[in-house]
Amino acid sequence: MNRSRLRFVVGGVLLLALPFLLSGRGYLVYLVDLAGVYVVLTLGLNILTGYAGQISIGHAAFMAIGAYTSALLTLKLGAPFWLAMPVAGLIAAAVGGFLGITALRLSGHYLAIATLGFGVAISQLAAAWEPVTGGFQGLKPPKPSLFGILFNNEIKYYYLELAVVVLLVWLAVNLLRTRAGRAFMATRDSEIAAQAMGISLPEFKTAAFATSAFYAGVAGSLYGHLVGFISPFDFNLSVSLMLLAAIVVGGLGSIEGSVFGGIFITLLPQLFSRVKNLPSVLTGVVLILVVLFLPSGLADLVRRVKLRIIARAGTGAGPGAGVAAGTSAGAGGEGLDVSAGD
Amino acid sequence: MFSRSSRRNGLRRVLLACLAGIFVLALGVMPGADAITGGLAAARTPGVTDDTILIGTFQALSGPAAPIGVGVKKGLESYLNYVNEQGGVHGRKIKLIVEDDGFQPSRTVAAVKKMVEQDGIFAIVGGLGTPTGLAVMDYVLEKQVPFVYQGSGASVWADPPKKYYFPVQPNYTNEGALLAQYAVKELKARKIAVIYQNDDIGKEGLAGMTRQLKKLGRAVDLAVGFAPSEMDFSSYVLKLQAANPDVVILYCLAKPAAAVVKESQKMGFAPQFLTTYPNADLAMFNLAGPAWNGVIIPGWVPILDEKDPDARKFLGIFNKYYPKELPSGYVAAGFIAGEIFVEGLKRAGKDLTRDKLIAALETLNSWDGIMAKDITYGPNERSGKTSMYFLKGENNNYVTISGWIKLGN
Repeated sequence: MNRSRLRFVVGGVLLLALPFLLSGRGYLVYLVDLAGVYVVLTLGLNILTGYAGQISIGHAAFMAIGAYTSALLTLKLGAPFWLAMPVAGLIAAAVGGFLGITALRLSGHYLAIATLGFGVAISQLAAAWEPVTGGFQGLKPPKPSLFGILFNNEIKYYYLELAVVVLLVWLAVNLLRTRAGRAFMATRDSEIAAQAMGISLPEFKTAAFATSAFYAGVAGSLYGHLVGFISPFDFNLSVSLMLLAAIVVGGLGSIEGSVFGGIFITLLPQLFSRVKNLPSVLTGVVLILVVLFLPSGLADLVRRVKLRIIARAGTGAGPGAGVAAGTSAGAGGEGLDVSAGD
Repeated sequence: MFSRSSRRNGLRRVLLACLAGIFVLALGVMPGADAITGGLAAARTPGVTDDTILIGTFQALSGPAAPIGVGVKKGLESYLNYVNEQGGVHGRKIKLIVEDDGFQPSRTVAAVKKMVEQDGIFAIVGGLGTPTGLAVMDYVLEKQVPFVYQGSGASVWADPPKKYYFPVQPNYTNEGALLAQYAVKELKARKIAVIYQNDDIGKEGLAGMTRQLKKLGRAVDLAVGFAPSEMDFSSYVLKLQAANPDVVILYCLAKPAAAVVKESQKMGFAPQFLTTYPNADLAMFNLAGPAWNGVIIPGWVPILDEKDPDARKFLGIFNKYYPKELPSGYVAAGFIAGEIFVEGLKRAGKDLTRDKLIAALETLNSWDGIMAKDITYGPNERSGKTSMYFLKGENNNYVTISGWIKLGN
C-alpha cells in the first residue's frame, strides 16, 4: 500500500515538473500538449469502440464540432474558456447521441460507412458554411484565460490541459466501473446476451456515442486553442483513421492503452518528420506487429513485462521456470478490471 | 501491492502510463550539447555562422499533397546544392532542414517551432499549403523569421503586406484580375461568363475578375459556381451555352476544367476558353483530349523551351542531382524559391542579419534569375510576381502567345 501511494505521489510530481524537465524547448512542450489532446481523443474513441464495440470512422468530425463551437463561442460571443470548453463537449455529445440513434439500426460495415459519411459531411460543412466557419480561411481561436491568467505559452497551457486530461481520465476510469460501463462491455461482447440481462441497447449505444463525442468535443476545443488555428483540413478523414490506428496500437478496451495510443500518434510523425515517408511506414509496421503479436496493444506489452518482473522478484530462484511459463498464459487474468482482453 | 484491494489501481496505472510515454519522449529528444551553446549563439543572428546559413522549409512529403511537396523539395535542394558547389554565398554554405508536416496544420506548428526554437534557423524558404501556412503565420511574424515563398495562391500572404513575408507565386485574386483584363483588352470580349469551383480558389479568382472588370467599366455577365466534388458538367455547360458568351473563364482545377471543355465540344459550344495557371500542364491533353487545343492559359513559371538558354541551365542544374527526371512545375517553383532567397543573401552582404536580408529583398525590382522572372518587392510592397505571360493549346502542346503582361488600372 505504501509503495503504491509513493508511486502515485512520484508520478504526480513528475507530471507537474515535466515542462521544466523540457525547459527551453517550447516545441517539445507543445508536442506534449498536442499529445494530451490526442490522449483525450483516443480515450473517447476507445470508450466507443474498445468498450462499447461500436465503430466510428468519422471521429474527427466530433473534434471539429467541439473546435468550432469553442472557437465561435470565444471569438464571436466573447465567452470565457471555462464555459466554452464544456459547452463544446456537450454540443458534440448531443450530435454524437443523435448519430448514436442511427447506430441502433446499423452495425458492422454499415455503421462504419455511416460514420465515415458523417465525418466527410462535417468537414465539407465547415468548408461551405463560410460566414460562420470562415471556410478554408479558418478561424483563429484565442489563447484561453482563466481567473485572470492568460494561457499564452505552451507551459501554462500544459497545466491547464493536465487538469482537464486527469479529470477526464478519472471520469473514464470511474464511468467504466459503473453500471453503464459494464453495460457497454456487455453490449460489445454479445448484444443478445446483454439484452437478455436487461440492458437497454438503444439507451446504452446512444450513451456510448454521446460520451465518446463529449471527449472528442473537449479535445477539439483544446486543440483549437492550442494550435491557434482551425480549418476544415484539420479534421479530415486521415485524422479519423489515425485515431483508429492509435486505439489499436495502444490497446482496445484499455485506458492505459488510450494514453499510449494518443502519445504514439502524436510523437511518431514528429520524431521522424525529417525522414521522408518513415512515419507512415513505421505506423504501418507497428500496426502489423501489434495485431500479430500484441492483440491487446502496447498496454498489454507493459502488463506482461511488469508481471514477468514481479514473478522473477517474488518467487526467487527456486521454481522460477514454472512461474515464468505461467505468466504468459495467465497474463490476461491480472488487471482485468481495467482492460478486458478481447 | 498487486492485490485487488486498491481502488486507485486504475488511475495509478494510467498515471504511470502517462509518465512512461512522456519519458520515452523526453529521452528520445533530450537536449544535447547544443542546448548549452544555444544561449551563446542567441546574441548573434540565428542560424548564421562564419561558414554556414541554416534555413528550413515545411513540405508535405507524405499524404495526399506529397507529389507537390516532393517536387518543391527537389527543386529547392537542387538549386541550393548548385549554389553551395559554387562556394556558397559570401563564403557561407546553405544548410536546409526539410520538415514533413503531411499537410496537417497541427504538425506544421510543431515543425516550425522545432526549426525556429531548437535548430535556430535563419529563415524559412518555401512552405507548402494554405491551412498549414495560416496555422504558423502569427508565430512566424512574432518570432520575426523571414519567410520567402509561400506555396499557396491565397492572397492573405501579400495583402496586407507583412514585413517578414515574401510571397512569390501570383495569388488567385491577382490572377483572376489579369484574366479579366486579358479577356477585355486582348480578346475584345463582348460577353464574359465564368464557371468556378465553389471553394477558396474559385471565389478568390472570381473576386479578382469582378474587381478588375469594374475598373474597366464592365461586369461578369454570368457566373456559375459548382461544388468541388461535382462530376457531371452537362447542366452547367447548357447554362453557359444559353447565355451565349464569347469568352468563358474556367476558374477551376484540372478535372472539372477538362470536363467542361470536353462537354462543350460535344454540345457544339465553342467560346474562347481562358483558365487558371495550375492548368498549364501537358497532362490536361490526356484529360480533355484534343478539345483542350485553343484554350488560353497564363503562366508564371517560364515554359521549358529547349531553345531558351535559361531553361537549359535549369534543366542542367536539376538533372545533375536528379538525372533523367523531367522537372514538374513544382520543381521549378522550389527552384525559384531558392533563387530569390539566394539573391537576397547576395545583396544583403557579408555581415548578414535578418533585417539586412529583408532590406536586400526589398531592392528586387523586376529582377530576373534563371527561372525566376520579373520579381519585385519594395517597402510595403509584397506582391512578388504580378506579371504573367499567356499560352495557347495547339497540336496537343502549348505555344507562347504573349510577353509578360502586367495588371493595368
